[in-house]
Amino acid sequence: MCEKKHSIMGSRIDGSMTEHTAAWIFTGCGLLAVIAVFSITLYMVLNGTPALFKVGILEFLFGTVWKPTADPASFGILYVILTSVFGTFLAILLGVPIGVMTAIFLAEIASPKAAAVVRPAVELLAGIPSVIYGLLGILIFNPLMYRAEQYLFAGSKTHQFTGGANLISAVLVLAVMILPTVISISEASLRAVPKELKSASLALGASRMQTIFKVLVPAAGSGIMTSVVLGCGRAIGEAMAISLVSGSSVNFPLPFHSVRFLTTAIVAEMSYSQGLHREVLFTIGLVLFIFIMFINTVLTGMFRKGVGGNGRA
Amino acid sequence: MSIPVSLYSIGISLELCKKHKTKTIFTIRPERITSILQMLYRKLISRSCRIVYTARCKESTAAPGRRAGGDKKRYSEAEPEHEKQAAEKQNEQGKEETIMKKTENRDGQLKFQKAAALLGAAVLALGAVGCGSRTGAAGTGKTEAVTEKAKAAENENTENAQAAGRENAKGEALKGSITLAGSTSMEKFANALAEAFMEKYPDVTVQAEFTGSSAGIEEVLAGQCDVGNSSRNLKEEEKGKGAVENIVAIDGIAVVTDPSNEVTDLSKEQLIEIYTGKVTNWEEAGGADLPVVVVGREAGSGTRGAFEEILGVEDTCKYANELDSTGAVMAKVASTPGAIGYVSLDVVDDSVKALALDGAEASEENIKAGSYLLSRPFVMATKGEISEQSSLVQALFDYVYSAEGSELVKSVGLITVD
Repeated sequence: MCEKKHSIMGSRIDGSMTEHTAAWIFTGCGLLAVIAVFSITLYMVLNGTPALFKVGILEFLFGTVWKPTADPASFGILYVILTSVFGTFLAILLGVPIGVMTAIFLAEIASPKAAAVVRPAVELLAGIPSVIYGLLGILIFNPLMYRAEQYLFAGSKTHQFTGGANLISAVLVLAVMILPTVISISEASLRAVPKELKSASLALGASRMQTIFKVLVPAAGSGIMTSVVLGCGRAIGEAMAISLVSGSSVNFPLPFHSVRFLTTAIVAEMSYSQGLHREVLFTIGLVLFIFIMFINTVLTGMFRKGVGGNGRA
Repeated sequence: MSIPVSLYSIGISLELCKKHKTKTIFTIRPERITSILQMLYRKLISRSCRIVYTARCKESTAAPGRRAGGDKKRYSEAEPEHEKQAAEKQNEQGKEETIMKKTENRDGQLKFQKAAALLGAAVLALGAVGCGSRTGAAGTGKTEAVTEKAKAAENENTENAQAAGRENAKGEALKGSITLAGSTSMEKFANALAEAFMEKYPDVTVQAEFTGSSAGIEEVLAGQCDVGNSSRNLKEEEKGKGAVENIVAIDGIAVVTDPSNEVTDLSKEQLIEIYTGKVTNWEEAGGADLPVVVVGREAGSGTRGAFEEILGVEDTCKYANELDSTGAVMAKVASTPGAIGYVSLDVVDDSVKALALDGAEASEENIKAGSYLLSRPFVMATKGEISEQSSLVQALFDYVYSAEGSELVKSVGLITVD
């Protein structure tokens, strides 16, 4: 807008103190972010690896018995890892289609009055703290799941009744939590699709739904993938909301079993742990950290490749 | 909430795809609103920007085709080229003027703000330094006054002349540090005791470590700490090595179930069978046909340790829910028909029903009488009798067994020893 040139590194042409100090402050802030990520990684690795070698990598990652206060203690987190993976996958399976379709509704189909109702509701959902989701899960999902459990497993001798706190309750809570992220980013990316594509498709005779699903959604693909990655990150990192609704026993992740996630495993036992138990909790944190890095890199790489391959925006 | 909204939106979208109507509704563009607000802000707050305001007015009247504050271009905008260029040039000139004046004024403002910020920071720094030394001086003065008061109060409260004599001597010379080590279940009690004792004798430091009952007794026998906390009775071999069992409080664990459950008491065997997973329906324990939901605490919890140890079911319990706080267990049991859980005796309220074990209700009297089986002593073990310990440790035990100590024990929810 203005003609005056402002260089972020400052120059001798307009070398006032303000310029230089401002430039240093901005550089400092940028460096702070890099330092934070680096030091978190270093801290996790330093605190997480001793227990890994004390317990043994194979026994830790592939053992199924988690009895940290027994004598002798056994630390096997295979079921915990599987629960996190499986739970996140189910939450995405449930949340992303609903989120994308709501985004399509908001971007393409809603009249301004309807959008004026739905959009603030979505934004409000995004602002609710996660503990509230946990409390709502306890109030709404747990009794529902308990009734379902009593109906499905009536008379069963082998099923351990969990009172409604199981994998399905946690997955429902996670799906509701990732909805606002998915909806807002998908809607933004749908709006960013050039209007010529839509006009061309409609002009060629495609119906509205065909245009949306065959032209607009693939064109907004990278944005929708971003929303999926962010939703995935939120789902796998959520601790407070699901610790109240998931039951916290270490079991194989079947829908009506009481399960423990990587995050809730750390949260539940951190306060009372000591010695090797505490170090093992840090190792679980390291495993979680590696998972998140892995998911972020793989998914980002995937959609970048997809963009390059298709040549779409 | 958003699932029905989304379903509703799917329904609406299916409905609307049948109609191909496009409406254009006149809307007030958001950029317009923000530019109007910006103008008002500048007018009211900053006098020096009056020039900016008039310059902007000039700019907007000069180019009627352009929206104020917006840089968006549309393909459909049909303006002849030369008019566009002339309007642009006028815009640039107007903008340059405004920017030059704005930066001049802003430079002056910036300098003033910088100076004010530096001055404020200097004042705060000086104040902090000054205040620190002042509170330090005030603090030591206050603690002296407190020690005086404590001495006076102690002299007044004692009934035993010998005790009065000991405390008098101690009130003058109590300095040093005491280490307590041991049970995590006693954490709340140990921390409260340390705080209260340090408040009473400000020159004494009480440090508490929580390494486990067995580790605590080992440390006190080895002389690495002054007092070993243990949430169980001492074993014979530990007593043989010279540890003396000083019971300071008793902790009760109540077994609770939801209020609608018909069962009111269980035997010890039934409780063990429920928690190890052999009994899975309340029918087998004398109640209705309702599945049992076994609720417990997480692995490091002291309550869980005590519960499993007293019943002898360590590592064989099958929990359906491992919750990480007493409050969570209470909430779960209160809201789930058929649930059973264990909590500390002091938190039991009307939202849950406490079961009787082997015919004895869970109450203080039964625990003191020894008929309620889920109770454990809190022991502060010393190597040798209390009278053989240092004056600091003796003062600590005096405090615990005194009236103030009983108040402290009751305040953390434990039961005093008579």
